[in-house]
Amino acid sequence: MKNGKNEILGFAVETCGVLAYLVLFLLLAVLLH
Amino acid sequence: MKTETEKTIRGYEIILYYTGLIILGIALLMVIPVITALIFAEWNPLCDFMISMSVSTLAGLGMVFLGRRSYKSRAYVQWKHGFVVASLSWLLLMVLCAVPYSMSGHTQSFLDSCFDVMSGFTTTGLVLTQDLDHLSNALNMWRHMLTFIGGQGMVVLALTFMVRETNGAYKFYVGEAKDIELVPNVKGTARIIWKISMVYLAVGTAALWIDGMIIGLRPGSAFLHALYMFESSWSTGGFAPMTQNIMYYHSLSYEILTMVFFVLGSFNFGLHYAIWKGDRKELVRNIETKSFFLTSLIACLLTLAWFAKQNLYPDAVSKFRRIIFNILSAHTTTGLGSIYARQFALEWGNFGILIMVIVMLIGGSACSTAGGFKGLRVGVTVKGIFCEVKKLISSERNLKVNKFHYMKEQILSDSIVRSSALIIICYMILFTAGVLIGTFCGYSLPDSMFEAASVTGNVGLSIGITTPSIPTVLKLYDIVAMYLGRLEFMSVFALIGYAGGGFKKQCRKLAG
Repeated sequence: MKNGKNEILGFAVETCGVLAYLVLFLLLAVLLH
Repeated sequence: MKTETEKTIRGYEIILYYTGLIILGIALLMVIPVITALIFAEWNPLCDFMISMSVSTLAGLGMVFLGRRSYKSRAYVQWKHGFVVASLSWLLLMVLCAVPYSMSGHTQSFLDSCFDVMSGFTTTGLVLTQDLDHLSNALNMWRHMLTFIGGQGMVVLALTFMVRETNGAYKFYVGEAKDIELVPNVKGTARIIWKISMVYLAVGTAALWIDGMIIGLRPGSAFLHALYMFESSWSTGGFAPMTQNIMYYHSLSYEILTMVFFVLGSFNFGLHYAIWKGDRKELVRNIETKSFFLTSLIACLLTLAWFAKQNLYPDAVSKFRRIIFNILSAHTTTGLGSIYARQFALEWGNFGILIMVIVMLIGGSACSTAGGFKGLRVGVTVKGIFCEVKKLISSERNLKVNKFHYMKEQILSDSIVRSSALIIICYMILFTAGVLIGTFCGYSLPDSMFEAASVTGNVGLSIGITTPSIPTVLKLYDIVAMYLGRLEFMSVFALIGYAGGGFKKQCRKLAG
């Protein structure tokens, strides 16, 4: 049960981390426009 | 003398047996395009795949039969066998998997078919197949399956489902440039890699399917496009079902989703596993993520600054979709392109092309689906240089042990720095050879550099050189470069050494 919860959380952390990283680049594009 | 001959026979038998098993595994996978052809009533592709499947099955069975003694006697698998099996099976599979391409009539020659298969297996994404927009569903399924399987590793697949015992399994696994042990049992490691990929396949396909329907695709078509584009993004492949690649969808949301999947796909499977196990700090401590974050940030900053001067793309969103997308696609060695190939040559200028060449060569993470030098080697080599400089300017009495974080704290030894630098040198030699051949064939230096970096780093972006009309020598170089780049040289060197050693022995025998 704990494993499953950890895996779902891990999946969410990875995906949100990458999304945040893309938002950072979008901000960069706005700043350097 | 007799013992030596017995050893040689056993060596060949081990190689034949395991290579045959891998071929049988891939032949079995042809069932999926066969089912696809049946569903869509594509009778010609159905025949193509039935014939290809029979040829591959016969070849696989023949090899297993010839090597059966090694299975019966449970022969010891040495490192050289592991390397040779990995590199040989990739070559044989290239030929066998090219049969349905060739029979479809969408390629000009069998060499073009082999090129596309190698491009798929190595997750490169360069295409010589013509009229992509009218490809059968079965062949499209096959193309994208090849890139998905190639990304995870065909040997990994065979290990998971076909090898009963783990005797020597790790050696095949390392031969395919995946040398991480997530759990002590190598079959367990292979299963974890597939579990992670399958979870993402389900979630990613669903997300792209929904988005596809939102942007106006019909449900059935949206599902197939979602499946293909996920397989292509996650495996950092770069194939797409339509000629226009990602531009076909005209959608920011579709581009963002594919970006998320190709960035995730370029991460080390060990990193995914660590995060899924609960060690979330690994994401920010790992030398590869640090290296990738830093290099992608510098590359994007420099390119954005360059385009700010050019005033080419009218707004920030357009810059994000055209510049950031392509830089990240190149850096993760994906090869999905949001601009036409010739736009790189005509609009990006030498500076933009140079940045693309550098990020394509650096590539993604080790033990991921990505190509290039890999972030780990770049991080280790750069850190090694800094430590060396620090050592020179600090007191001789100061003996500091340098470390780096890669799944755990590791000592930055001279041998680690040396082996990383050696692989980088091999990549650079391969890249230089490509530039030389390209310029010799009459292409400009920036174009040749772009294309050579794309094949060496298994990226798949093109500046417009890669078409069916390129000289045969360039096609052959591309196939070799994709193969060497994906297997990271050592396995192929082992195959050449093994074949050369066998040839020498035969010559000596004949000479008396």
